[in-house]
Formats: sequence, C-alpha cells, structure tokens
Amino acid sequence: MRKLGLIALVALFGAAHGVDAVTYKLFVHGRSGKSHCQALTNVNNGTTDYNNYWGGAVTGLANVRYVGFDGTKSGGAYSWSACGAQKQLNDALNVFCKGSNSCEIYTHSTGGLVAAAYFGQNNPSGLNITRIQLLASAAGGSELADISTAYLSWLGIKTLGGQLDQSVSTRGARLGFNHNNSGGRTLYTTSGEGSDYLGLTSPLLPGKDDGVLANHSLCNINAASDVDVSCTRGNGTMSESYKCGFLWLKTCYKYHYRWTPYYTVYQGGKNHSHRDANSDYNRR
Amino acid sequence: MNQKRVFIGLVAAVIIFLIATLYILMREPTPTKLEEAEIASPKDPTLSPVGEDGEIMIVNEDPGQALDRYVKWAQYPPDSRPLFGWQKDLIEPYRVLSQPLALVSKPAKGCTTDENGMPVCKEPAEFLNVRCDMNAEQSVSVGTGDHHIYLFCLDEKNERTKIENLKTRVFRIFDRKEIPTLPAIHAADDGSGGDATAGDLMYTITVRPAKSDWGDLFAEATFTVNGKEHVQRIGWYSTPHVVAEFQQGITDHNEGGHLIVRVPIQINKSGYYLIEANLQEKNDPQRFLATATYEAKLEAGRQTIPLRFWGKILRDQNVNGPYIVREIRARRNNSAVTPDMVQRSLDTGEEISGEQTEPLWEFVQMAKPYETNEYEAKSFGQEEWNSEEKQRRIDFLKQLAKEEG
Repeated sequence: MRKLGLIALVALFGAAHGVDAVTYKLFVHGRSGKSHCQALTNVNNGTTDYNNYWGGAVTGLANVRYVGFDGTKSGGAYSWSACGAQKQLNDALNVFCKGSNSCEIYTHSTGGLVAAAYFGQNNPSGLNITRIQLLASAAGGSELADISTAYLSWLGIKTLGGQLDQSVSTRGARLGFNHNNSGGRTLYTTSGEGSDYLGLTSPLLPGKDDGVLANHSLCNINAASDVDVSCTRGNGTMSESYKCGFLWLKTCYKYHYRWTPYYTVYQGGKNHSHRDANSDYNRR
Repeated sequence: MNQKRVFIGLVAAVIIFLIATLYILMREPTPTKLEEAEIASPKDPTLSPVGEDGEIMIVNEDPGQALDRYVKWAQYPPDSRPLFGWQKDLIEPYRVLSQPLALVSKPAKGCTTDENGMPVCKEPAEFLNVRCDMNAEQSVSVGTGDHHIYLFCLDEKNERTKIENLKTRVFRIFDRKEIPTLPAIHAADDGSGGDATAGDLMYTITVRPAKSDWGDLFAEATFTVNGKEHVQRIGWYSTPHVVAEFQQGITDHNEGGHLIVRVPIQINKSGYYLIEANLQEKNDPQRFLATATYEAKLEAGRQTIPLRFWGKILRDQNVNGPYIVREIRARRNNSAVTPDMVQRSLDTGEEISGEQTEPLWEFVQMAKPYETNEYEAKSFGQEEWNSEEKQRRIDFLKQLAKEEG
C-alpha cells in the first residue's frame, strides 16, 4: 500500500513537472579550435559551457542550454556526423522545443550559419520557437575561408583555429541553401565593426567588417559584395553614396538588399568586435 | 491694372506654395516622440535592463505583432513565394562573386597566434594599391566541359595592368584536405584556349574538370605584377557526373487556381532532389513574379516534376501571361541526413546522424527558359495557403499573445 502511494506521488510529481512550460535559451557557438560537443538527450543536458566558448557561462538568463558541436566534422556547419553542427542542433530542438516547452535560439558567428542552414534547408513542423537571434552571423560566409593559405601566411595567419571548413566560405555559405527561406521565422541579427586583430584581417574583408566577417554577412546582404556602410536597423534596403560622373561632382548610390527573413536589431560600431558580439543576446 | 495685380498675386502665391511644398518634401524627417525619448535617454534602448535578481529583463517582440507578421507571410506557401528583381541570389543562383584582393608589398613580421588561431603581429603586412580580381564564370560547374576563370589586376589609376609569370594549380578540397587534380588546360591572355581577346589584360584560365573532381574545386594562380609576387585562388562547386538531366516537353496549365508547370527530368541517380524555378513577366525581363520549389525523393527513370506557382501570388501581382519560367534548376542532396529524415526525427523524437564521406551536393545542368501559355491574372485563385503546421503555429502564437496579455 505504501509502495502504491509512493508510485502515485512520483507520478503526480512527474505529471506536475510535465505540464510546467519552460522556455529554454539555446546557445549555439561559432568557430573554435576545440570541440564543444556534449550529448543532448534530455532537458537536464547541455547545462555547462563545455570547453569554454561563452566565457564559462552565459549570465543573466535562466534555463540556458549550450548546443556544442565539433566544427572539424566533415561538412562543417552542414555536418550531420556524430557531434556535427546540424546533428547537435536537431538534437537540441527535439529535446527542448517541443510539447509544452519553447525555445529561444542564440548563435554566435558560424553558429548563425548552422541555424540559418537548418531552417533554410528544412521546414520543420512541431517546434515552439519564440526567437532566433544570430550574433555576428556568418550566414553569408567569410572571405577568410576563400583566400589561399600562401596569401594568408603573408599576413601572419599560419593556421585558423578549428581550421575553416569550406562550408563557411562565401560560396559554401551562400550556395548551401536559400537564405530567404526560414519557414516564416524572423532571424534577428546583431553585429559590430571593431576588430580583435588591430585591423589585421580587414584588408581581406570587403567594406566594413568586424575582423572576421564582412558587413555583407553581418548585415544579411543577399550578395557577397563590398558593403561600406554600417548595418541599419531592420530589413530595409541599405544605400551607400559615392562621388561619380564628370569631375566626381555627382553623387551616385549603390544599394544593398537583404534576405527577406532577417532583421538587424543592433549595430555596435567601432568598439564592438566579433568577439564582443557574443554577449548581444540581450539586445532587442 | 487690377487684373495685373491679381495675376501677380496669384503667381506669388503659387511660388510660395511650391517653395513650401519643396521644403516639406526635402527636409529630414523629424523624430517621432518615441524616437525623441530614445535619443534623450542615457540608456542604450537596444540593451535589456537587468533586474534586482541579476536576471536580464528581456522583452521580446509583442507576440501579437509576431502573429500578424506570420499570418501575412503564410498567405503563400513556403514552396512558392513572391519574387522581386532585387533578389539577385535567386535570379542568379549560381553566381557568388569574390571581391578583389590587394597585393602585399611587405609581409607581416613577428606574428604569434591567439587561442582561436588568429594572428597577433608586431609588424602587420603592408599592401600596394594594386588589386586583382579572380572569378569563375559560374560558382557551379556541371559535367567535364571547360570552365573559365577570369583574372585581371587594376593599378592605382584603376586601369588594367600586365600580369607576368602566370602559373596555375588546380585542386579540390574535401574534409579540409587538399587533393591535387589535372592542371588547367590554358592560362593566358592570348585570345586562344578559351580566352576571348588577346592583349586585353583579362587573363583566362581554362579548367576541364576530371571525372573525380566532385565538390569544392579550386584554381590557384601565382604571378607577378610590377615585379611583386602575388597568389590568389577561386573556388567553385563541381559536379562532373550527370545525376539527372532535364528533358524536353515542359507543359503548363491552370490547376485549382495555381499555375502548374510540369517539367520532365531523367533521374540517373535516385535520391532526395531539390528542384526550383523562377517566373518572370514575358514582356518585361526585369519584372519577376514568383518562385516555385519542389523537393522529394525521386527514383531513377523519367519523372515529371509539378512546379506549382501559387495562384494568389500571380493574381495579387495582376500580371497576365504568357510568363517565362527560368532558372529551372535541380540538385541532389547527398547529405547523410535529408530534410524528410529531419522531419521524421522531429515527429518521433528519434536521434539521427550520419557520416559525410562524399560531397554534399550534386548539381544538374539548368534547363532552358520556357514560355508558358497565355493566362489572365484573374484566372488564378485568391485562396490563401493553409496547412496543419500553419494552424499549429497560429495557435501557438495566439497562446503566447494571450499569456502575455
């Protein structure tokens, strides 16, 4: 009898827990020299910043879960291998974003390409996602993955931590999926224009950049072009003026168009670098 | 006299009115009260405040607005969307241009590498005001035919300059490993071997991909400009084998209020295919109307793909046919996990994964543009898209809106 009572109590406790709706905050990291992969099979997993990408922990938020992957797996940002980026994100969505639970997804750098590709290639149903925010998004790829290793070595770049996979090249990122497809979800983005490398990498990145990514990726522009203006808030066309015509007396404009589901919420200027952007999860 | 005064008065009034109108039109828009409050505030308006417990008090977008935005988006299905002329990534889907690269005059010195593999140099590299542009004719090649790469350098006056000692190397990269392949068959500015005009300082590198050159293929050029050595590369995605071929005999008709374009295709290698096309107004090459996407597992053999351009998009744009169906393209998804498997995993909770031992994609040669029959825009339906997932998403967003008051 006592046993039955205990079972009933446990069942009641479980049921009570089952109906608790939790909004998990999923954090998907970027390029890294280390693997941050950890199993995500139940809601109690992913509670630690394994191998320290997010500075030990994301602060100020409840119910944070870290979606770690191994960036060296074949396919890079598109990898479905064990510990691959797509596989880990799919595991996380399966565990944290269904039933009575919901999710907010925050990504940094290559993590933005991982999430954008997931929703661009698939039209997943049955998920409760309330926000997707890409911090310093690499969804448009980086020229650092395009350039020959010989040229990079002249700039002092001997190796790239976690070695850049072709998935994050401008061609790999842009050809991989239709960036205008997100199943009706808005992809909010934030970025800056500071550099952690004293401007060393800027000659490789067309237009304005954050030291790792050019503004064509950071501002969600639909062509890998030279964007020499700062990302403007929202989703509207960005225009860039320049002198043209006879004796350069006329002002001409170059227009930059954005992928339809993306929306810039923050642009941090010259003091906000690629690395700084990983704390932009609190921007709205 | 009186008439003259009235006339002068009228002219003066018109001039004042025009000046006032011009002033109103040309002045900078003044901030709204909300913007003024934001500008005046010492706090960063984009930054969410932190509560007493140290937790960030994030206020997401109003769920009511999110619902409105979703409902507006979901009037058309995900597989057929409106298309605009500025969507270059869809109108020129296989064209991802690389930006010019400056010549290095002095390499960096005293460099160390930080934990992310990025350089920290005592003396950073210095650059010349000479830039070289290297791009492939397309970012995708299909088959083993010639693929052209164009190379030119611009000096400080923005004029093309001579390239000397041009040497090339071709290789592919898979799983971050470089794999050598056959050399380029021609690399020069001599008006032969694929180069259009001799002596125009536009150098052409002609590559003929080998049967084994599947995936990310690269041509790297080493050369000198004014005595300075430079190295630059360009990559493209090569599918040397033919996994499928579009066939002749495309047809079109209005079915259930939608424009259905049936495209025959011979599938040589079964698998999960993504087939897409754009629709343009026949008489205006700059007026784009809609996209259509079809994706499914296809068996080997002749298949007919029904591309559906959603009727309401055509009706809303009020453009009569005939239309041009263009950029009719296909690719086979060679990923270890395909979108149908992803959805099954989400439905069942089953974990999925698979090692990627081959490149991710196999592209198919594009079909030629096709002109449809004549249609009146009003012959298409006004019906909005509906699905179980749409209803579920609307219910979810309504529930959120209700919970947040």
